[in-house]
Amino acid sequence: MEKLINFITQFKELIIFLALVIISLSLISMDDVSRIGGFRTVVIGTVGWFQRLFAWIPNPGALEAENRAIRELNIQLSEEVMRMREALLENQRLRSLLLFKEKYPNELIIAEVIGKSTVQLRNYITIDKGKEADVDFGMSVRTDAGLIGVVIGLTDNYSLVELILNRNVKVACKFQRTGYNGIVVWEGGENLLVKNIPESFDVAIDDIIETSDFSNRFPNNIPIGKVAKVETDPGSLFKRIEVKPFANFNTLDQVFVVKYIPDKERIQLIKESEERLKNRQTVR
Amino acid sequence: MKVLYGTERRRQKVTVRFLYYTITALLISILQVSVLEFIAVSSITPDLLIILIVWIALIEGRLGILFAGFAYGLIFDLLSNDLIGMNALTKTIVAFAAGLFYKEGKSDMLISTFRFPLIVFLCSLIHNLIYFLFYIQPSDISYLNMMAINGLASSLYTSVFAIFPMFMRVFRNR
Repeated sequence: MEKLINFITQFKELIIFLALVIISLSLISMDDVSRIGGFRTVVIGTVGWFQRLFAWIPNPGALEAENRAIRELNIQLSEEVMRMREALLENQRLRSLLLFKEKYPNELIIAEVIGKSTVQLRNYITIDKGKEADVDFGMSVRTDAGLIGVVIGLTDNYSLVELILNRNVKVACKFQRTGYNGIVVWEGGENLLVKNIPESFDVAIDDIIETSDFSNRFPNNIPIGKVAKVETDPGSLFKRIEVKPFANFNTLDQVFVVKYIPDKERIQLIKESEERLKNRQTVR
Repeated sequence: MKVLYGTERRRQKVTVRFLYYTITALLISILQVSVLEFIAVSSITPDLLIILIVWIALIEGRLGILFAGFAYGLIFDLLSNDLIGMNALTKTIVAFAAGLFYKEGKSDMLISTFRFPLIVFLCSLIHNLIYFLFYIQPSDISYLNMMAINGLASSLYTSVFAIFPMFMRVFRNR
């Protein structure tokens, strides 16, 4: 017994320390704060009162951190707003494309524009659909707004489209209101020109121009644009008519390939007669 | 009889001192949970209770501080909404560790020199080693990272604050 008392006296600090550690660990393991719930409420209230008492003291560190956080949040929100705006515009565009596809009689292939190139005033776009999507040479390409070009190059998965904003493209057109026929060409700038319209013909601003039945490359009735300017050339028998295209060539994103191939027999016939004419001219 | 009277007086003095210590601990705990965030650096605050416990341990010796450490830790647990027993455990261990540096009659030598912040740093490090071991339990936080970043920084910050009581003691001795 004496030995035990001696032992306890000798190691009392260690024994007390171990006892307190065990009590602490027991408290931790209990992890039950419900018994002191009321006390905690008082504590939170008191601490809150103290915090309010000292709330006037500026805290530069916290303010700086808050500023930084608010700035970051501001940037994130700005980006979010931008994304939402883009999504809204895309949504509107896709909706109009969807509606258009339902209304259009010809079969259409939807394609994404993946590249644009301009070679000496010749404008091209590359789309992400090719032979595997049944795209073929000579098919017209349009947006829901209007005609944009024709397929001139093909691979299995891509197509090269020659835009109508191209010096060597000529599109047979007609005025929707009057039915006059003409030829749409491009000579640079944002607008197209309609040629072969005599001075006496009735042409008004905002007259709609569309592809005509005479076209051997494009299906008929595809809108091209509307008359933006009509000028009378004193030295010519024809009017100079500027047409603003319906399609916005600066924002081409999604396009439709019209599954319409011009009649090959008809094209062949035209080619042959053109060659014959040329030969006759050479003989003379 | 004279000796007994002296012992009784001494015991009374110690009791009064511990009463003061307890009031100080309570005030420090309230400050710690309410206004110390004003001097927080990247969410790290000094642990003033550790400084107090080391201070008491170096003055009063090993036995008393064990109970005090446990009690102050428990008070802090109740005030800080921490897990009950967490600070009681860590502060008891800090009290035990600080008590190891106690040398009778040499408390001034320890407190009024730079040994004091050094002891505080060591005790704080031990405190954080144990505290973070429990703290990270329910999470995937790396213990080593936690200790390397928060544990060390908190110990350093606490030891910097230990310089103030050290100078107080130095000026009082003059």
